[in-house]
Amino acid sequence: MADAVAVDTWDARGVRLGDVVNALADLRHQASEHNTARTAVMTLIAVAPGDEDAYSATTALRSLGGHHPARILILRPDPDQVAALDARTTLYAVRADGHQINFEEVTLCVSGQAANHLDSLVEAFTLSDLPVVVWYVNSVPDPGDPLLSVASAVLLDSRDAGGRLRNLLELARRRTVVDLSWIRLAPWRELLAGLFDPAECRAWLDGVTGVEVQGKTGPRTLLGGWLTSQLGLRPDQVALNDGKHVELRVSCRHGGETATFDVQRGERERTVAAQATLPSGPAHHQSISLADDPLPTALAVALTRLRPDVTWEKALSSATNLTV
Amino acid sequence: MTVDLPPNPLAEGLETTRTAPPGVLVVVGASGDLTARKLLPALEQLCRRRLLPHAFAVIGVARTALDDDGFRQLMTSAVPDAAPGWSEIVKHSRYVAGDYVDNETFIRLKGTLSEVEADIGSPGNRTFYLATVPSVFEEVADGLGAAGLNQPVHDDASVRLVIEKPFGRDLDSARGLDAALHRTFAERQIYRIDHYLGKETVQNVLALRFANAIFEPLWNRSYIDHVQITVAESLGVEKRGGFYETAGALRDIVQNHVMQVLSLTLMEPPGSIDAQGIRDEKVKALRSVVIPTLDQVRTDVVRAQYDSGWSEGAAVPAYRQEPDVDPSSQTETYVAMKLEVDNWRWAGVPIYIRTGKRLPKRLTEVALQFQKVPHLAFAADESRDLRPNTLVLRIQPDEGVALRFGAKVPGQAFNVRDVLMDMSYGSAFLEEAPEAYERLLLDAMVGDPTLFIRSDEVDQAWQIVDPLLEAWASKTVPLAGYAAGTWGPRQADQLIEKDGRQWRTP
Repeated sequence: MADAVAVDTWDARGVRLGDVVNALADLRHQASEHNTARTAVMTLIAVAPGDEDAYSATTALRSLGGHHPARILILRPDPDQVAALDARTTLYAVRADGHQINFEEVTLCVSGQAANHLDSLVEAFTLSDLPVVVWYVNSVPDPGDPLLSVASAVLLDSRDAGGRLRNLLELARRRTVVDLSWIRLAPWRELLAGLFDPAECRAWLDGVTGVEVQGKTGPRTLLGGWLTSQLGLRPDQVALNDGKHVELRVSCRHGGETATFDVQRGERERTVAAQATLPSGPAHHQSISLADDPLPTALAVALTRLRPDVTWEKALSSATNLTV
Repeated sequence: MTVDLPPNPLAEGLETTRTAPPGVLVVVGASGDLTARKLLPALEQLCRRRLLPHAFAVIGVARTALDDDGFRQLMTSAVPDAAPGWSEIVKHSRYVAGDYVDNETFIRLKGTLSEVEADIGSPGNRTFYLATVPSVFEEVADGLGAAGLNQPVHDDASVRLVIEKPFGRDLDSARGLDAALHRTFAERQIYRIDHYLGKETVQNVLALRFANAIFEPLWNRSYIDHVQITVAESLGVEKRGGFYETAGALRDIVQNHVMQVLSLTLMEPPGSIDAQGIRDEKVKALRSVVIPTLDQVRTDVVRAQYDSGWSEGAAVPAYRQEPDVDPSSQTETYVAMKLEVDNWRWAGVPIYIRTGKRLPKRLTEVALQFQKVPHLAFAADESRDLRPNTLVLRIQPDEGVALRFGAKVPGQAFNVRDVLMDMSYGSAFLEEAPEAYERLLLDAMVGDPTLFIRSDEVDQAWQIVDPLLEAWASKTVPLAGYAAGTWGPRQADQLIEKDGRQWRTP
């Protein structure tokens, strides 16, 4: 699939919301003149105050154009500045297999008090009858954030929660939350689960003596919580260690013998490998490639899973009891 | 022996719940074209999407003299730039060389299976994929049965047999094949592939009909005037002249692909979208199709063969001039027919079917033409361009749904004309759908038979087609000719025009 190409753009500073809506309508009209299909399955709102966040968010979202055709709304709130609204609307086209579809991207730089009331701005841009997904880029919202009222689902990254995991749990009780960290860690979870698929390995799950999780704070805490809740472990059976890459080890004892089940960085670049070490020796090796472009890949997956995830909630809940 | 595996708590909540269970795929005919061109690339894609288990291997069986390393080399070269997990599968894969009529081949296969299963830790799930010519299906099934490979090694293990169309050459031979397979395998173990059913857009017929409330109330004789099913190919027989001489359009397309599309179009809503629900309703729909009498075949069926002509800007030869084709061949490359359906939903709604090679374009579609409005209030000259509404399900290429309806032409006068509201799946989702083989291979290993054809479906489809074959044999239906690159012979137009209708121009 080719990259999204800007067909036309409009931008202005110090505008009223109606001006932006009109500009967007003009762009849409232009798309119909070009006789290209305009299909959308959702409105995608990214809240990205900083320049760097906004850049990475827009780059990732544009790359999704063909997978999840959506109207994209980038919100850049800055409550500390003088009240003003600057805006840019752009019509993008993306082609694949002879098809071209258009999608619109609106960036609103909202300064002043209005930055605390983003919900009052976004409804003018949401597509009727379609889900509204709000992505908090590199931040975790306060459960009382008014913007949440328009969200059918919330995307965030639990690694940004720091010590506020309980806030996340509270949020998950009110809204559908999809955690990008949880999705990025899926290969580790799948590989570890897969090690216990063969009949000769399954029995070892009855005798788990402890688990070790290595990685940065966010992922290691979340995976530690997952192993604790799924394997019914006590917090003292879970060792969390700092490390550059995520690694998992499950140690087991069964019938007087021991076995270990490991998932770690593979020998090849951007691969993860799983290995069971049974009393008879190493067995059941499998490795998989990680996505070259982790953020767009995780986003694309997240947008297909806009529903509550009980396993994630249990993992998060257990993680709050672990010592980081 | 029963092995009760406790649940794997770490697998809870993982999204890839349709992962194949640990097991071995045995490909019989492993050195052939289908294996290298379709099966191995589909398996590698499943591996890439992490839909294959840790404990998985392939065993190739064929007459070709190869050893394990030779087969592994074949597996590697069939999929350049394979996913990293592929090499692990290749490493555990093995090859058994031998003749299919020799029971010793299958006894050696049994030994190899046990070794591989011990090697990878598989609990004994086995899928036998017959990528061979149909003429050896029976021998292979018998060989597997004689070696005891038709039975699972314990109660919780599965044994499945996957075969590809054609399922017989007529009703008798299809029943003979079924009887032969059922000697060794139970019907629930047999997975009959028609790759058409693996196509995303064929499955979309179900989604369109049963996930939307607006279409189903109109999907009946009260609103629909007639149905047209078109399966058109722009290519000729290419290098398949030898095969095509023994098949013809009726066997190659109508008995399987067309009947599958027909049954999905006509079927009643199933109680649930599962294998039994869908397949029961498909069979019921086919049973409602009136089996044509010889008289009806004479009046309602046209068969034809392409002459030379121009196709896609190039001069192309007649069918009889194609390589490996008898210069006086009577094989049809085109069939048009009218079928009737005897049930409450469809009584009185004719189904027009046409399929052929060397037609102007490659296309598969189902068009439901609605009845005219009971009274057209507009003056004749204001609505002369207005035709009845049509809902078109495009299956390939450019998959989508189109609805033709009348709209006012802007201006002072009240002129009404047709407009087309055209939705293309490709424009809604640029995402690449899985290949048909990828989907069907996974379904077979998972044990989901929804998209496979049950024995009674095959039988019913042959019952509809068999009278036509008999008419062919008795030369009751003359073989017409049509120029390559056209929509078929004049007789096909007459077939529908005598009912006051016309073929669509897709």
